[in-house]
Amino acid sequence: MLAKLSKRKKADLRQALVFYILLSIVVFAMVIPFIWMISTSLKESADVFVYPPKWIPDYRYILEDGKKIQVNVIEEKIEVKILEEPYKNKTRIVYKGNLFKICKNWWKPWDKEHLIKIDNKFYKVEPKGGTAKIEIIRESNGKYKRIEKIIPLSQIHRSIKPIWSNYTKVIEAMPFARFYFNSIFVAICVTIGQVITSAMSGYAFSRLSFPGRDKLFMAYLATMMIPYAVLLVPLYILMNWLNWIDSYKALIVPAIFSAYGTFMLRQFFMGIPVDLEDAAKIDGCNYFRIFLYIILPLSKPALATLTVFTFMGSWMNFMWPLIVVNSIKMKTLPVGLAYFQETGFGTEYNLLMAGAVMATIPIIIVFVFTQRFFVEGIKMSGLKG
Amino acid sequence: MKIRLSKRHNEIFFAYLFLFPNLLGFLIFTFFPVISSLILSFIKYTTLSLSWPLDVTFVGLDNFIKLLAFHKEAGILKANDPYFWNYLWNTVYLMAGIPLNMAGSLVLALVLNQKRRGVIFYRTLFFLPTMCQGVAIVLLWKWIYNYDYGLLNTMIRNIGDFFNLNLEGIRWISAKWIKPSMIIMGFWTLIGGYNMILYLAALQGVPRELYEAAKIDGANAWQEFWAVTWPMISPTTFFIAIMSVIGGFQAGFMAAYVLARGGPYGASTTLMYYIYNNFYSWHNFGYASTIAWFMFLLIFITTIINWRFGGKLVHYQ
Repeated sequence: MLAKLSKRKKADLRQALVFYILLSIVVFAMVIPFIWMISTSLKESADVFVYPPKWIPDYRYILEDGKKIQVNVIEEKIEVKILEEPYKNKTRIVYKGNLFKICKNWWKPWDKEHLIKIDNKFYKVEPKGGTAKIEIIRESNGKYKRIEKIIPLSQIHRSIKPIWSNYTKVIEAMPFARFYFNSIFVAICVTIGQVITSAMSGYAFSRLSFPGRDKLFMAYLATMMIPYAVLLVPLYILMNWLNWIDSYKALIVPAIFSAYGTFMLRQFFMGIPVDLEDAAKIDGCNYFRIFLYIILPLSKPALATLTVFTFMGSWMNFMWPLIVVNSIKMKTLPVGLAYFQETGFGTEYNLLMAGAVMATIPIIIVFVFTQRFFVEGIKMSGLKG
Repeated sequence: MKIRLSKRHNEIFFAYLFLFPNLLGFLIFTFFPVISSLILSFIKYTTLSLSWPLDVTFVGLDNFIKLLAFHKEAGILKANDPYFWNYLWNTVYLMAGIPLNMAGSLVLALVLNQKRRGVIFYRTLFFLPTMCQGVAIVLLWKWIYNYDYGLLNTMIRNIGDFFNLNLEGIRWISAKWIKPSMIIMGFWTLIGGYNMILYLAALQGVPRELYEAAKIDGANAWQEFWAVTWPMISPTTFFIAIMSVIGGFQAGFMAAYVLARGGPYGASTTLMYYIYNNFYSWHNFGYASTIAWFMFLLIFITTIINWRFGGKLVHYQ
């Protein structure tokens, strides 16, 4: 009996181990790009294009009278002791002058061996200190003075220095607050409009009988199969006729009316027992009151699902705002971000990443608190679909 | 003065009242555009002027002939619009990511479908890329894919150092590699998204008795998966596959736009991107509509094939 129990426990332990190891790998792969994004967004321009990449933005300083003074290192001379005869491996190496570094293990990037290249041959070496030519810029009486010095390497220290000004630079270059406002405003309007109109038409299709109902519903269903691309051209021409280009109307109004929302809510309403309504009818409720006080409160999960999907769809929509909006102040967040890349910031990855951080982190924070809501909504859409 | 309606008329009145807002919008922004798009696909309409009266000529099937037909040039059969076939191939190539994403989502869902500490934390974490602004994610990946300083090539070089191979890294955003790059990026973004949650819900719906019965029959985990789990979740797999294929034909615009503007040399231009180029960049409204309708036809046919042949493989309770 005892042996059996311990066997089961062992199996359970092994399972748990596999579970956590597998998940850790996935978590690592998921999280590293985000850390890379944040790390890059806090780097100086000069530190962005450095190989191997720095994970933590830092700067170098020397101590003078106990004060930190930032310096630029122009040239480093490192004394080395040659340890081995020619190093045979032809490896890709990080260079610094003609002193090379090689990682011993790729998962331990900080653990490095030093090599030196003489006549195309590599020798393993041990660095023994050295000197650096540094540049200090001093301000006195409003004038800047540049000093060059040669000091021992051991006097140069490193310190972490996140460049928060990247974020202010981005905000100065692009009206990010405006992009945010546009995206949120459009998404809220579209969501409210779509949920209300879809619920109303869903109710009419599911509960009321009127001439031509089934034919009309078939027309709704048929258009659901047609890809968005088909509508794109005529809608664009229509927006031009209505003179809605570059306005909130173009961003909001065409997105409100959805055959999908109508279909989904109709299906849900069909499942609500009719008895409740009959009782209300006997009590003298009209259709409007039945809709408001019986149908809507009973379909909260379906309404929540539609809300989530509509909001997300509008929030992520890229093509439509790209087409109908021209001026900067009308751009939504995704289009604004893409535009930011095209206006000469295409290679300034620290600024681009700062923009990306601003576009993602607030939403991540909101999501962490509301994720249950999302998950339930998705589950429901799968069951209904 | 009160107008009294009969009970029947009252119902019809309310029905149209409820229907009115959606129906009006539906007619203006869906029904009318669908009809006009169909008409547009038979029309040559390329001027910049969008004002009435439209400067159009009816060209019959010319647009479709230009899109789909071949002609002989110096004895060699050539497509009238070779770009189109190229872009169609790009679209189909990118859809190779669908089975990968589905398998990844299923594996993740299987791992997460255990009663263990921190499952909700992991689920939330894996869902993050889906929640994030897509353009931001693509920008991030553009930086990861950077040849000289990007994260991925750094990793490849480090691995090369370790095994003493001379790995230089890959030019991810080149005509040769951009499609695999987009698939990898899509995999990272989508693996923990909607599909994983749908799979999780499906897995939780599998009755426990079936697993117990399998255990009594002496099935190991592998057999249990293929004999119980896989058939029981096949409706979800089918649903995800159909939706992904429908989406796949229309996908890739945003990623291609932000990553390389459909390039290099059109290597990442999908059908959706070609439609965008045709109507927005070159104002070929008629031709753009033709491509869009052809895309609809493709989606329609593949969905029917999926229903016919895929439906047989699905096990319904």
